[in-house]
Amino acid sequence: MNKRTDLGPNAVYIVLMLATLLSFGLAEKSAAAHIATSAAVVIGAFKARCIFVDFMELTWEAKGFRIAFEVWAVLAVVVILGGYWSTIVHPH
Amino acid sequence: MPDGRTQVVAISRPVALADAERISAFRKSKLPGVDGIWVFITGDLVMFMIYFLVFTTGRMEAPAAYDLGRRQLDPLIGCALTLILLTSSWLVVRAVEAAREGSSGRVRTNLLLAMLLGTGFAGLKAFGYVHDALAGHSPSSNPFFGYYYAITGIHCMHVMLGMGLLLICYVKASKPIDDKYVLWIESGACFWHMVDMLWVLLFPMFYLLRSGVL
Amino acid sequence: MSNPNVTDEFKYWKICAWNGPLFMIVYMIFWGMCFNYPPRSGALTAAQVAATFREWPNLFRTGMVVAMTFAVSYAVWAIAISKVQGKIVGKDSILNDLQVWGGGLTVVPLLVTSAMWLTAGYSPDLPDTQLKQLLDNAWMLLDMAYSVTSVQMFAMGVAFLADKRAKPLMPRWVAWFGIWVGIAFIAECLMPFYKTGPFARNGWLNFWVEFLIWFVWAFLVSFYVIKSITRLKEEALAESEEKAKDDAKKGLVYA
Repeated sequence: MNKRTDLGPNAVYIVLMLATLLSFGLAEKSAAAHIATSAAVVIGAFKARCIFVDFMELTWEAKGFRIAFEVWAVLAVVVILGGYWSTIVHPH
Repeated sequence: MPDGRTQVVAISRPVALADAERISAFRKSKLPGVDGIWVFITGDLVMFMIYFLVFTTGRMEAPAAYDLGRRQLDPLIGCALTLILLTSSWLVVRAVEAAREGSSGRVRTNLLLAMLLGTGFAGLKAFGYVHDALAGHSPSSNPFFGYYYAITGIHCMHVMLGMGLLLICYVKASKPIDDKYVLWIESGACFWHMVDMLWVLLFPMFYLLRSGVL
Repeated sequence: MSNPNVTDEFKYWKICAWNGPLFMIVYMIFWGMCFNYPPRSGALTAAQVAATFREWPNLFRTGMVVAMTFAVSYAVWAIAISKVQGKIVGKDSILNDLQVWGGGLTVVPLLVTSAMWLTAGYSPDLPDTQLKQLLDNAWMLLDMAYSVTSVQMFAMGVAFLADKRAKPLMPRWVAWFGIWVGIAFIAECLMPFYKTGPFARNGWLNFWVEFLIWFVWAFLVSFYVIKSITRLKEEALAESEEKAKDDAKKGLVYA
């Protein structure tokens, strides 16, 4: 019931830490601000997914919850980036 | 909603609980922890989605002002907070694994380290708040900071609550570990991971949304 | 064969339990109609606040008179719940006391704040600043007394979670939901720091969401408590019939 991905929690932890540094570096240093910022948010959602799949052990056995969490992660990206890009496409 | 009540058998000595399937065999739920913790987690995720929505809506009305606010924050602190909380979460995963193996010593060590890091998170956050307040940023000074203090403040309250759950698990681990304890530590762990999960999205939302527009 | 003592007692329980929905409906109408959908903003000037009281004094008088009359229904409801709880955790459990006191003390901010607005409706010629103070004072009390109600919710949640019946009197998720709502109220602590926005007293987080989840919880609890009372009555009647049969066998007859 509690099978995680093949990576195991230690490897997932390292992935999460590296992803954090990557998103920080992208958003802070990259010249293409909008793309880098968007990537940082997507990375955030990816990290959230790693946490609920690998750390919280939310497997497909609990189908309803798993689907809900997947939808939540996608929705978070849509909401945050949707608002972000709308200010770029239609600047005030 | 699955009924997470278990037929608890008190065990007088630590046992090797290497097979996680054994946990689910006596627990009817397909989710780790007690069923109620998932009510909490669901409720909190819904609330925070609403917070993401209100912040985003506010930002759409005044992106330049929000970007100005964002620049007052130190992204290095935000990054440090994220790394601290992720490490704390990882330690809690190790604590749960140790509990399933019946090793109360390792449970306590990992939980203690996790709580220390949690305290570090709260302390650094408090430092950030004080720093921002001294710089003249209050909840009413501009909308960005209004949301920043409110949403990260509510998140911090969750951190405190999570720490409380971890502390209970830490204290309970001084007794021999039984199946009931495993349920409890899984519950505390899931809540703690949720706190971490929320922060990994709050971090880019507050610290990294670079508008590139002046 | 029905036992009238048993039947009457549970009838009173049920009447008291129905006070919950009664309270909610009365408040939705009579409290709500006094410019509380949503509440008046903390950013309004004294003149703007005063204007509302002066233009609608009888609306405030009517609304608040009815609200104050039915405020006690919340306490009556809490007492009914404690009777049902008592069947799970025992009559003498501290959880019953906590639930009753939490529910009972929730009536205090309801009464006091309604009295403040009733005063404003009664004396709309008070200075603008005083009228604004009545409005603001009331909201501080109403929102910041959240922890009183939280205690009721925690005690209730814990008590109903202790139910070992195969089919619990209250579904476990409702008990957990109540505990969650009690904790979620802590967001009200942000209210004094904001005059505008979603965390202000009229904000859609600190008003619409928080009050809505409280109402949803109250209706859910009322539904299951009223249903439980029927069930408990049937159990009590069955038990009293069994006892009467046993006594008859032993040759005991009651006049």
